[in-house]
Amino acid sequence: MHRSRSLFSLFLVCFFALACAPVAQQDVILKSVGQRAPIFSAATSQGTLFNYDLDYYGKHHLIMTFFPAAYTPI
Amino acid sequence: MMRLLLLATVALLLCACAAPAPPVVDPLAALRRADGTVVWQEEYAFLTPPAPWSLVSLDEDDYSIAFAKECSDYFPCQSTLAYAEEPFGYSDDFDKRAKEFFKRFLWASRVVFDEPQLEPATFNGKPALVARVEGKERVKGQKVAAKVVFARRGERVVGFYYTQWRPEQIAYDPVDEQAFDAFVDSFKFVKPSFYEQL
Amino acid sequence: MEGHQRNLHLYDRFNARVVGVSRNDVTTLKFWSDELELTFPILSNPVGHIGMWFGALPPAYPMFSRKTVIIDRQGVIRYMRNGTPDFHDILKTLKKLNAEEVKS
Repeated sequence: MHRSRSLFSLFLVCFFALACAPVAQQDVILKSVGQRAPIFSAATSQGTLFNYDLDYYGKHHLIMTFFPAAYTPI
Repeated sequence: MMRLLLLATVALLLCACAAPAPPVVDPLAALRRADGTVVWQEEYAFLTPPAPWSLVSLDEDDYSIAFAKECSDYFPCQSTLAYAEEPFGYSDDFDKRAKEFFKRFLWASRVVFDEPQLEPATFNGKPALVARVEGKERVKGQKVAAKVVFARRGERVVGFYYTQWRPEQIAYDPVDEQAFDAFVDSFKFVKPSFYEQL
Repeated sequence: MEGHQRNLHLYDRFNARVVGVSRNDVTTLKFWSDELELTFPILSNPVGHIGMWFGALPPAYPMFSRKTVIIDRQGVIRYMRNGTPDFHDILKTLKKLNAEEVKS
């Protein structure tokens, strides 16, 4: 009984600690010049899987062009 | 004496109220050389088309420099000529580039183009390609004649565009195309391009 | 994208590769890419997290904004620019990166 009460108290402490932790700001995840690129992969228009770490990291410089949508001029 | 004074006052007032004729300002005067050519961005020199052609300010990357001429006789009544350092498309081969180019040319105008007529030509002594095409906007009853000269600067393809918009039943004015041809004939590269120096 | 296609041989000279990234699905990107005859891959990121990492997903906006990012061979972000790609800028950056590698 005592043990389960301790566990419950621990749970409550953890819960409140997490709840009170500052919400992750976008700045934390936002990358900028000088920072390391994240590990990422995505499906491509060529029916392949783009894997940054496997195919580009240590091999090539990579230019990424973000654009709103297909069929928009760029 | 009073009458004379009154007359003088009226005359003075009339003179003061008369709108002075706006001075003709050449926006490219500072760039114009003694031979009449304009040096643009220290990259190329050309003869500007005569008035009423006027310089167009463009933010688009499609054009490096452009001039337009409008009239109010009917709508649309507009001609445009331009030099593009990076014309639509990407191939270095002229025929392929022309095909790619016309996929995008005036893409937002809802014009349906005929098949372009291609003709080999020369520009500054090097091989070039002239494409002529007509397009129609059937819903609005408008038409456009276009002429594109694909030329070369270093290895890369550059382009000169000319368009003339008219209502479908109105004939095109050949004078504007002559102004375009004169512009192209006068066009010279002053220095090697960015890509040639890379 | 045509501008990148035009410069592929120059990117190759500087040991660089290019990808486009949008929130479109793969099928749409394939049709579009085929129509433009692009030979480099366009990444499909419907969830948008890649754009979010690189600051290309404006708040409360469904699409990516135009942005160019260059990551060097060591995985470090070396260039970011909002708006349509500035190809002169991109090529100058790549040339610099390449020169740095040759020097070291």
